[in-house]
Formats: sequence, structure tokens, C-alpha cells
Amino acid sequence: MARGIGRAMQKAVAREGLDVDLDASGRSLANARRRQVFRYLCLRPCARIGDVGRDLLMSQATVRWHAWDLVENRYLQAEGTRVFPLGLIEPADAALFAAIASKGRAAVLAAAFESPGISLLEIAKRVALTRQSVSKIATELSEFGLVRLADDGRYRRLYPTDLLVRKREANRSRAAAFSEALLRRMAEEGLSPELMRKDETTLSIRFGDGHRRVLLEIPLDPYATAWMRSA
Amino acid sequence: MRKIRSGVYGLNPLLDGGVNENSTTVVIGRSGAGKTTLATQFIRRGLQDGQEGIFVSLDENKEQIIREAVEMGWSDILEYLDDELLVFIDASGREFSNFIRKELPAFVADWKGSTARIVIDPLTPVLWSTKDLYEQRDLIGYMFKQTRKVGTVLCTLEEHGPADLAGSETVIPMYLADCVVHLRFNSNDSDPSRLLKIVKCRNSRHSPSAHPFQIVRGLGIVVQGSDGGRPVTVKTPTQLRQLLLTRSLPKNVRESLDKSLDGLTDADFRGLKPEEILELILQEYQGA
Repeated sequence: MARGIGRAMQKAVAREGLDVDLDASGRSLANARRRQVFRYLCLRPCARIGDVGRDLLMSQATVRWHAWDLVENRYLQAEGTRVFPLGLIEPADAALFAAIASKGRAAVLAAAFESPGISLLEIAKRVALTRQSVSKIATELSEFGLVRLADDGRYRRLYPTDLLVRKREANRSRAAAFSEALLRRMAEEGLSPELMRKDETTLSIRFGDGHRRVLLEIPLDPYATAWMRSA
Repeated sequence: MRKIRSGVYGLNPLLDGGVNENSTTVVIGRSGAGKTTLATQFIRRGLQDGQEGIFVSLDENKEQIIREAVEMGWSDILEYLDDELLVFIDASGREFSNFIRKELPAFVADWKGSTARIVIDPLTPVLWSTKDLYEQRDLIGYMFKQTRKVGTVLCTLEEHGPADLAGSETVIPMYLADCVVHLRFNSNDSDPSRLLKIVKCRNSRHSPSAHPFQIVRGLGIVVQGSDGGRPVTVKTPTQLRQLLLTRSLPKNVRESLDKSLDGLTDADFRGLKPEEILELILQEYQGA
């Protein structure tokens, strides 16, 4: 029998509270939809507001409103039109995250990681894009140093570089500091955060206002999750 | 039915060897009676046998329970916590009730057949999550039925009524649980005393008496006066079997009675005499 029944029950008990607002008006993360926006941007920093809204079934205006509040309350950082969790990524990588946040680029990058040396023609078939679009995206990704293009005389092929792997490793200490800072920030807001679990990829915090407590699971591995899609 | 060790010294013999696996036990007692100590012993014993433990704490926070366990000398539970073999769930009664209603079916489907030990301490806030008695019965009955599919469950229950076990909130869980253990603590006398009594235990023989117990640092609850060391005697069933041979009874009745006596011991007859039982059997079957 598989292990982990306790953790599974803990999650199931807390799931009930995932989508509820806490009776703590004025505190940023007390709002259930704002927590969704924050969590999404931890998963995919610098994602476009339109994509966030589409994935979370919210209007762009709602996403923008919550993102603005999170910036005001020092949970997110804004760089021009890009927003990302404060302290979770290297700010200089904002452009890189903005690039791989798009579904098309993420799909091409994923194809290169899944099948190193895959031809652009094969990628086009796999991700349902035109050959021209794939070619354009491959060039953009190679400009960021994320992939390498090679011509074998017959096909143009795509190979992943180790840039993301290196950045991911280098980001571990930053993610740990982010976790600490987030817990402190929530405590300042009077949300009584309780650390349920912390490992290299996920932070689970249970918090609330005394009457009601909710569980927030924060992905801490943006250099992997930004472009990996489950669907 | 498979027996699992309760972890409480002296309790297993009173339950014919231990707690039935995949059963629900309710431990009832007033504040300070030793309910949480018993629950901790139960869950710790499972951990020692490699079973996972879930401690649902609906009242005290987990730090308090862990601190008390460590003070008792059971600091090994910290390692079980680190390894996630033991998981504490802090929740309000309402949260846990909502879990029962909305999430439990899917959870049980995922984990059916698990051998975890699950403690709910105390069950009282779940009962109080609704005022309607029918809903309470429905909620508790459903929870017992489902959770025993994923492990062996022990719930504690606060006793509030003026007389023993008379409080309305004890009636429903007592009725629905497979096994009920009552802990009594008499602190008013100059000589404080503690008593443990098994009120019922489905599918199991159990001691009918109230047994004194102590809470000992390092050991937890130690029940005295269990007859675990006493040899099992079968005098009454043997005599009854012989007496049945001397009387005229239909063949199928005799065979059926003979079979019924298999495995019974003197303790099962609770002082009934073989001659007395024989007389009643004859009244029932002779001339029928």
C-alpha cells in the first residue's frame, strides 16, 4: 500500500477552504481570488494578464486589480508591464520569463527538452503551429540562450541548453529566502501563517483569522514550472 | 477479525487480544480522564508496527499534544512526524464536518485498504457542527462507516452530563461505534481513582468489569487487574456438552448446539451454570 495517507487527508481537509474568503478584509491574501492570482504568478512569473485571466476564469480587469493590490502589498514586484513574485526570481530574468510564459514558446521549449535534436518540422506537427511560427519561436528562444539551433543539411534541429537547469539550481537559495519572507509578510498582515510543508518545489502554508483557515500551496520552482504544462 | 495491539498496557486482554482492525472505537471521559493519552498510545503503537498515523486534533493545537507526548517520554513521535509517518491535522469541527460531507468519499476511494491508525480528538466539535440530531447521527454514522475502510479509528468524546454516560452528545457516537471505552476519574475524594470500563465491543469478547488504571510517566495508561495472565478455562462449555449427550434432543439441534460451544470459555458464560442452561435448552426444544 502506498504511503502518504496522512498528508493526503491533510490536503483534503484543507481543500474545503481553498476557495473561501477569510473574514479579514483589508488583508491582501485573505481574498481567495487574489491568492489564485498570486499562486499562478509563482507558477508562471511574468505571465500575461490575458493568459492568467483565461486560465483562472477571471476578467482581465479582475486579474489586473488583484495584481495591483499584490504589488501594493509587497507580494509581487512590477517591472514595466511584467509582474512576478517579489524575491522568487532573479529580476533580470523577467524578460526570459515573459518569453516562456507564452503557450507557443513554452510548447516549443518543452518539445526540445522532451526530444533533444527534434526537427522544427516535427515540432510544428507536435504543437500544432506552422513551420514559420516554430522557426520564429526557435530563433527567439535561442537568443535567450535557452536552445541551440543546428542544421544537419536536411533539417533544422533544436537542442536544449543547460541554461534553465543552471538557473533552476542557482535559484534554490533564493526560493528558500522567498519562503521565509512570505511567512513574515503574512504574519505582518495578521494572517497567523502556519508552515505545513516546505521542500524545494512547494511551500504549504495554512493561515487564517481564527474562525476560518485555508491552505495555500505555493510552487517554488519557477524555472521549471513556467514552461512545463500539464495539459 | 484481525486484532491489533492497542498500545495501552493491560487493555488488550480486556478486549480479547486487542482492538479489531478496521473498527471504530470511542473513548469517553471527562476532562483529565486520560483520553488524549490513550489516543496517543494507540497511534504510537501503530507507528511502531509500521502503520501510518493520522491525528486529527479538533480542539487542542498540535504543539500542545506533541509537547505532552514528549513530556510523557515519547519523543520518538518527533521522528515519525519528520518522516511524515505521523501527520497532525488541525481543523475546526466545521471544517472537518465539511471534509466528511464533501471530500471523504473521494479520499476513501483513493486510500481504501490502507492500514493507518486514525485518531479524532475530540469528536465533540464535529457533533456540535450541527444542532439537528438526525444530521449528527447521519454525519457520524457516515464517517465511521467510511473511515474504517482506510484504517482503524479511535475517537475521543468529552463527557459533560451530570451522570455517567448520560449526556446527549455521547449517545449517538456510543450507539454507532464498534467499541466504547469509558474512562472515569474521581478527583474529589481524598484518594483519587481512575477506572476503565469497556461498555461494548462488537465482534469481540470483552471484560464486563471496571478496571482501575494509572497514568505512568513513560508508559502512559496502565490498566490494572486484567486477567491476561490467568489461564483460559473451558469447564462450563465442556460440562454442558456432556450434559447435552445425556438428554434426548433432535439430531440437528444437538449438532448445532455442539458447534455453538466451539471456542467458548468460562468467561463467556459469566457465572451461568451448565445445568441452568441445559434446563432452558430443554424447555425450548423438548416436545416441539
